[in-house]
Amino acid sequence: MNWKHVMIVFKKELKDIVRDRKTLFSSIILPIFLMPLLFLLIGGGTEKMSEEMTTELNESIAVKRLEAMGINPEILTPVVVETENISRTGDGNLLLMMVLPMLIAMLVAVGGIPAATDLVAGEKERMTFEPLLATRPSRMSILMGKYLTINLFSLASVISTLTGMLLAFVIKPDSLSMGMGEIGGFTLDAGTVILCLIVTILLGMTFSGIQLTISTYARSFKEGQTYLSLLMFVVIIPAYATMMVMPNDIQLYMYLIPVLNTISAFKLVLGGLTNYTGLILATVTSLVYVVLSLMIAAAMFRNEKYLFRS
Amino acid sequence: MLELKGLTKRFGNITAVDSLSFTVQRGEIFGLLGENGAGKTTTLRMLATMLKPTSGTALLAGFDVVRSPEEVRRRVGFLFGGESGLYDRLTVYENIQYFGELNDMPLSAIKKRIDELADIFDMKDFLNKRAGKLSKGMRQKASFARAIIHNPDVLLLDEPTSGLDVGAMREVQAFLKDQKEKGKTILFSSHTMSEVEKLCDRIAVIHKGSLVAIGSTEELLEKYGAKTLEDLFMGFVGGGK
Repeated sequence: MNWKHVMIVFKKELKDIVRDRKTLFSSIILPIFLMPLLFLLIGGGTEKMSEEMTTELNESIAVKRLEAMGINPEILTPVVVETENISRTGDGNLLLMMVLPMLIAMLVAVGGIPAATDLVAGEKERMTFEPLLATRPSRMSILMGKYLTINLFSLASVISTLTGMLLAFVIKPDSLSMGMGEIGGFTLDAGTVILCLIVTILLGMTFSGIQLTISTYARSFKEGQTYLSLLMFVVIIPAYATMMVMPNDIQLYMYLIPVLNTISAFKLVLGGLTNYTGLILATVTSLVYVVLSLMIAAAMFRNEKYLFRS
Repeated sequence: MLELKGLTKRFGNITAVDSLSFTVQRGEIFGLLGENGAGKTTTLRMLATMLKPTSGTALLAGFDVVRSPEEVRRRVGFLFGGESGLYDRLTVYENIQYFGELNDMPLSAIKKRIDELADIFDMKDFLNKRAGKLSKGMRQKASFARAIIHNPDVLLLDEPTSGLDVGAMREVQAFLKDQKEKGKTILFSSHTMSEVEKLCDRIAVIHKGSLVAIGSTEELLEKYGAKTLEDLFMGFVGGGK
């Protein structure tokens, strides 16, 4: 592998994809605007709902009490209903703890898909792949250039989503907790945060390798899209299944499984807890997954049977 | 120089290329004739180190395709006919520059060479247009320029003029003659007999992966008592119909 060649491929892929408005829009620009919108809408909705429910409840209780005292409930008409926020700072963390880790793990795992589809299956379909392979760089340099591009896009989609959420938070602080209370009161442990970020990046790298493998296996752009959307389900199912798990209830095995490891790590961070055994186990196993997925991608890239089928 | 030594490729039970051996000299244009599926493209792919031979090997400019594929690739220009395979979102200039960079050329040398090629192929007007917006003839010229940006010793051309109009075809043919005079080794596949007759110093006819005849057009016509190259070709591949 020659790093000069890797960077030439990487730079070209970046230029090429940035000019592809569709990919750029769906993986980077859309999340920045969609996230605040989503959270503001849902947040506003739940808030209104709870307000109305409280009012109704208050009224019915009052009516019963008045009747019990032998007073006509109609005298209630001049009564003013006051809404009181009974939540404390930090109550909103609960919902964030369920949603945010799931969202980040899913995004980092699937964020590279548009780029991955385009980068090999797309090249095969447009017949640009063979001329590229006939240039001087080794196949591994070409593979690595493409791999880095996919990685960048998986990270970029997370960053743009988080930017979107931050935007929502700035516009309306309680929108992220969907009206269930204020967010705050975190106690962040630096080591936990760093390990959590490392595990997240390694998850992105693992899935970039898997996506590259699938894209190389596919005969055409469409076939690549089909296989890669199946990969999305593989990610979404465990992510949803563990949404309700609270930081205290994370089992050790969860740190060993891709996607779940990242979700667990973020739950720890948001819950203000730590578990170094789990996090270090997650980091070490993630490294193994990264190497494995890259090895499989490389084997696929060397296999002329898959490389040239169409 | 280009030397094939028992070059063979099998896909499962199918022998796509069966023990091909011949030599193409420097300054020679050599035509590979055969029907679709005769093994031309597979042969060219092995020479460009994209496919590994099942057995046998080939030497290009002194380097072995099996043992030193990278050395071979930096000395080979490979062009596919039909679809030209450019990156639509890049300009013609960027497309060509990318391949120059991949072949380790400094940017200044790339620029000089692109100017030169733009002159030869009359591409100045569309050098900075996106490849996706070009006509087929323009695309073909651009991919031709891209294939030879690094001034390779050996040119492997798979049906290079297919889909070109007469004017563009003539430009390509003139360029090939010029390259021949500069001492390049040129191997090209075609099924256009007139083109082969006009350009090639020697030809090889391959049928079902095997070499069935080799020599200059005159030699072959005399040897097999055929009037035209087409008659000769049909005699080999058409089963004497």
